[in-house]
Amino acid sequence: MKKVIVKKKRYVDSVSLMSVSGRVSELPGVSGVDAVMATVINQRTLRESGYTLPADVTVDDLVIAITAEDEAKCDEAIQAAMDLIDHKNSGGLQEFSSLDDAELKAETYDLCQISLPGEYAYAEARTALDKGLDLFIFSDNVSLEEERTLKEYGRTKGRLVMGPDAGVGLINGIALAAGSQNSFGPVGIVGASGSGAQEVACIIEHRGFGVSQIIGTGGRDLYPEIGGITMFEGIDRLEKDPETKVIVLVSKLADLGVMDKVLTRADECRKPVIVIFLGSDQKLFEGHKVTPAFSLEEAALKAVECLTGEPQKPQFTDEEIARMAHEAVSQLPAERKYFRGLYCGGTFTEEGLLYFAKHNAGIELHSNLNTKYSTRLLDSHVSVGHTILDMGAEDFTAEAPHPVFNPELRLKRLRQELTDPEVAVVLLDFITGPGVARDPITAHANECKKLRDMGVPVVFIANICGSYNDPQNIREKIGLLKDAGIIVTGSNFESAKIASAMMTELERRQTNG
Amino acid sequence: MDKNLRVINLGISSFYDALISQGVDAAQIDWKPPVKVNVELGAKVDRIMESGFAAKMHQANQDAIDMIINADPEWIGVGLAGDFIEGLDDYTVTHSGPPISFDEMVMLHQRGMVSACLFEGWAKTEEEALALIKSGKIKMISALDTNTVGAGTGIITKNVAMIIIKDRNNGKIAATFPAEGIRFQGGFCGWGLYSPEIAENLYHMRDYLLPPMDRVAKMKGGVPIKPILAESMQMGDENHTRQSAADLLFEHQVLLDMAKIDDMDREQVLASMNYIVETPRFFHCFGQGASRAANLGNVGREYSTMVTAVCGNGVRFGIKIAALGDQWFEADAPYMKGQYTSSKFTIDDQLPWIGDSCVVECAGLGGLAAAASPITCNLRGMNLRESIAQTREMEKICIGKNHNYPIPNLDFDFLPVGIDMMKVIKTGICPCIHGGMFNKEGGLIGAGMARVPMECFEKAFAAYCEKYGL
Repeated sequence: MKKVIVKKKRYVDSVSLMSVSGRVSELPGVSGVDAVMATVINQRTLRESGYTLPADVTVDDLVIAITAEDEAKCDEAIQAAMDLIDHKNSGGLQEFSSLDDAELKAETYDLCQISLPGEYAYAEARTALDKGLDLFIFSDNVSLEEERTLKEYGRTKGRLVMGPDAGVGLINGIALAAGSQNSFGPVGIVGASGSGAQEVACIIEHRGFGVSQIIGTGGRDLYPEIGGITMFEGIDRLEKDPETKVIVLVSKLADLGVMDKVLTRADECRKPVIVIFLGSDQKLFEGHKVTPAFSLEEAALKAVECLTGEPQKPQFTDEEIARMAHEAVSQLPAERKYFRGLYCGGTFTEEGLLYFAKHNAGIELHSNLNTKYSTRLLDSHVSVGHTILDMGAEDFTAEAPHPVFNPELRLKRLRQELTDPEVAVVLLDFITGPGVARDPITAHANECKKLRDMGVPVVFIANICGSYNDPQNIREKIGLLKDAGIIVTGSNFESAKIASAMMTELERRQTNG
Repeated sequence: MDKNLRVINLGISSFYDALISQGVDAAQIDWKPPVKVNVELGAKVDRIMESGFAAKMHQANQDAIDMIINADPEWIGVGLAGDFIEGLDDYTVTHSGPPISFDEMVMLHQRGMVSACLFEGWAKTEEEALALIKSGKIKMISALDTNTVGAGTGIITKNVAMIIIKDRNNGKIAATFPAEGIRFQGGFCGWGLYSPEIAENLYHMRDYLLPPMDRVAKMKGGVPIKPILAESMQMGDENHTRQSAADLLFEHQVLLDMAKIDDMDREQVLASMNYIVETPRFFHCFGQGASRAANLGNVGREYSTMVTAVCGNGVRFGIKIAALGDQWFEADAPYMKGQYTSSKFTIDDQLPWIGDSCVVECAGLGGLAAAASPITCNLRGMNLRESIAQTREMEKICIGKNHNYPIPNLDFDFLPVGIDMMKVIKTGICPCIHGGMFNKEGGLIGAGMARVPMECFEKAFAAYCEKYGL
């Protein structure tokens, strides 16, 4: 539809108006924008374009003419045009051309957060260190060589280098990159795994405690080439930080020598330290004084135990889980026999795979990841049997934005899985925070609800890795998921436990049937 | 706990928004990928700069910008193109951009050639005109190979009336065609339109509208252009896309004297005055003439690496370097980025760069003078800081500064002048040029900016090195 508004006696330079038209045209659902002074020629052009102008329009008037899908879109475009004309959006935004911009007093900042394409991250990071800033590098594709140089240089300058490839961080109560706004409290975390560290922080928060800092080291910090430079720097900082009472170190399994050095350093720490190397066994910790943990949930619960002196239990007991699994699976028709884990967190996928490999031995697992626990899918886009997908992996993100930032990709996959009559159980993980998708949850919940309303029996398991303070309002979203008939767990580990129990039930039924 | 964390965000803007939503004191860097530099050629530039040859080059370049800085352009009157443009004889037509054959020309140029034959009476019909062109009898020359400027399509023949600018400093004369009034929207010579009315209007201009202007120029003993340019640059013009102030300053110079003309038909004088006042960007051709006349003094200046011409023909884009005379160095013509005059236009309607009006950039105006005219840059969504940044970037590839243009937005620092091929190669920064966007069918559909392709400079550099054995 077309809509015209006239601002009587409002003069705006025609050159400024040209940019208004161009920028408003970019709004979705808007196909035509003419913001012009109503000169005789412009009036004629507008009429030729099919607009109806009021009879009293004069050359002194400003006209905004919009062609858009519907009235609401027209109004939105008119508002956007007026905001630009009134310079409503230009205030407040502090935008500079580079770290060397003369108007930017870089030295007066504390930290530089870099999310540029990897090939450009190093040079800017170097400049930031020269200006005395701590670094948080979200970018990946930074070479190991460059990472080492940056971290060594940062160390000589007394600066913390988080990342490259650091997904989350929480510094002085401020969430960085994809991190959650966890409540403040006595637990300090150093994490070589972004979502792993965030999971620990969120479980601690949900138990009524909070987090002092989350220092993300990036996934390669414990490689022998880097030697854990940021891990050690992080432990030092948390040991000195008067607000931190307990320290949790989170990493995937890494170089044995470096892991041992980290444990030795942690042993000497004046504060209690809980350590998880996801995928490790007890043996790794032999001869060390630190408290080991073997799941993210356990690490979080041990930290809370450290603070309260009370042993902490997961949300569901093993008996409850077994009963839940039995009940759920017995209600499914026989042709529904497979599990589909649609993860967006890399560490969550890994934690799930590790658990299934251990507790569902003998069941063939398929995945887009290349792991020793699973068979590689021939085509990541087609699930086979029990499939566990890391939808944040490159085979997916090469074609669409990472599902943490834009839920579309996984939503599409969810719809695809739900058309498969052999699907019995679907697992979803959600990650919230001010830097990720505005609402990654509602659309998924709606899909599940739609299916349930149609009477299609599929069991859903979901967990939200997020803070109650996050803008996504996770209390409300948990309600939404439950209303859709989804089993909402307290952690990714618990999701895995339930999924595993259901897979066991499904397999048993197959064998018996 | 110290809740204060001040963060600079370099990259994904939603991370900046996330920081702001948490009440963080944050700054966003509007980061752009660094310019790609040809390291090998850059090293060669360094070697030349460190050699004994450099002194000669520096001197020549200083002389070249002095030719622009000390220019003293004056509007001396109106005259026929054939009388003032060297080589514009019978059966000769100029066009914009580097030389190109009729078959390769874009439709606007082809139509312009046909129109020129009809306008001059060399042919009676389009078929006759085409036959004449195919026979090879029509000589098609690049406007910037002589002493005119092919703004837009640049179709000029000997009977077109032209604005004559003389540079009293170097004695050079440049003739540029005046805009064809508001009714014809740039019309024949500029925007590549043709109709019997448009042709009629050209005669009307020559015989009726322009004679009173010629009279006033002569009455005044010439109208100095430099003061108008200098003052308008302090009033928001960059004198390529915008001449709002210059138009008024020019009118201030001439209208009262025109009113005093007592030996010409009153109606005619009034029509002429009306034509000056109602034609948008009327002063543009004066600025182009002044710029071109100054740089005519630099064509063939030995050792100088300064750019003397920058232009496109809708297919190819060409530059000239002072020391290399009238040799062209070409690349594919770039598309201008900017804003369309109406949302009905898209890139499918747009022609790649066509026109010679970047003679003003070659004299330090237009894209080099963005800081003087944030309002021009604003049409590309730029703010004051970004406009200043554009000029500061251009400084890095210019030979020096022009003290005629102290700019308020630069705290009265001077504008850069004289694009230096060596600095372009060394820094990888290509000159910013402002201009108007053409419809493939003719007519103006927008305005914006483009960058001169690096390929032109690389080819010119190779030729320069060969000429001087570097």
